[in-house]
Amino acid sequence: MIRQETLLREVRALPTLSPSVARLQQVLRDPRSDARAVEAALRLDPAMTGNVLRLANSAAVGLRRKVGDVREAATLLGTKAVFELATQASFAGVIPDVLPGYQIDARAYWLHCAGVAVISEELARVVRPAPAYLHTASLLHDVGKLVASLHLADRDVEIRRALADRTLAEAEVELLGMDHAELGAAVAAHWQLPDEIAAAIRWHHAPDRASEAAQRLTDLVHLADGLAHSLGMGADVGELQRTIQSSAVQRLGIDVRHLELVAAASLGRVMELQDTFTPAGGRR
Amino acid sequence: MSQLVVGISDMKVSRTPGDVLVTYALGSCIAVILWDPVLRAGGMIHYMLPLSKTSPEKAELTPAMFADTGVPMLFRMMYAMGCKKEDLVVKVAGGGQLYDDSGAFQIGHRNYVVLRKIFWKNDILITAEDVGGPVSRTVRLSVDTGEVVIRSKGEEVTL
Repeated sequence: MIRQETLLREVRALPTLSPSVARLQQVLRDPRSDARAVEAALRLDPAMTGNVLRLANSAAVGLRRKVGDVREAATLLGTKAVFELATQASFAGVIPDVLPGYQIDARAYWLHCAGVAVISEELARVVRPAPAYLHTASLLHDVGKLVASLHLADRDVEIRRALADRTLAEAEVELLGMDHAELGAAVAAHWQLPDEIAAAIRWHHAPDRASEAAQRLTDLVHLADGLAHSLGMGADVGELQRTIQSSAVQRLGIDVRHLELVAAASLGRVMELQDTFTPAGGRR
Repeated sequence: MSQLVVGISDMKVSRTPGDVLVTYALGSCIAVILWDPVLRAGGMIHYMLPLSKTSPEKAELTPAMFADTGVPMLFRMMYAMGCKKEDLVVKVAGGGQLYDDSGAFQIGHRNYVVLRKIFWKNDILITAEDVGGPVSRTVRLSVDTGEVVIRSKGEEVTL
């Protein structure tokens, strides 16, 4: 078994999101913030500015005309949307080419993250209102896999054996001493993301254990994760060996017809968001 | 001779020798695979949901999203290549299921039930199938031979 300190040390070694994402988060917390404040937060980061504009002009956003600078993008799309684009661009930059162990590549991993982000928003349209941080928590929910995958590499036989009678999360605990959700929460804390995001990442496979403040956020991420996997968005070695907690379904009051509606509404946007991904060649 | 990828809510047909139709990561979605041994033509759909009434607008735009609009269209595409209904070999894969006691994630099961109903109404028999379970499947059809290979859990089986 790998020592937990080793895993947590690697959490701290993971590249962080761009500092401009944190600055944007500050801007967003201030209700008086406007397009100019968003521009100021990104001014020192030309690469991020370029990425945000590229995404703002992509089919996924669907603006009728092209935007030329960040202030214009923030005016047209709103400050929250620009923050989400910056998070997407920044997160894409830390995804390695492959996640060995999970047997997926960067594109499939990104497809899953994008799928959960779009699906959770569509779910929140059915069971209003959407909680704060829904996009970010959904996009980053599997960030722990970036660390866990290093220790699952070249262990295919063990992984298959562990998966014979376990869910993927249980198999991770068996092989690593903790699952990707626990590692992900450590990453969220290291990246200084808000507590609700860390909680939603921590409990996205066990939403009953989330705090009251993070309950709705966690339930939505949990079910969106389930639906994205069900629809084959980013299938990994665990395939469909994941458990849905009925209590989360009950708390949100959804049934299979809601999920089918959400699936139909989400697919196009998921594919568009997938296309915005350019492999960063992050690290490794 | 090429590999034709059938995406989610997509369908393709081919009678080009050497072509392979492939679809990846079928979870609760279902692939219907058709092959005509007389013309050596094949077709595949990867539909996501059972019924077009879920979203008539999406069904209009993307008929292959739903079993009830996509599957009949796939058969018509085969007929348009000159295939005859009685010659077609019909195989089915997918319809997987997460561990879920709530029933909310029964999409795979519903996808399968609706397909059986469509086939029953139209007097179509399934030659072989690999459906259900907590399984993700990747499916390949060789247009030359009609061979259907399914990959899941790190292993390949011929359907």
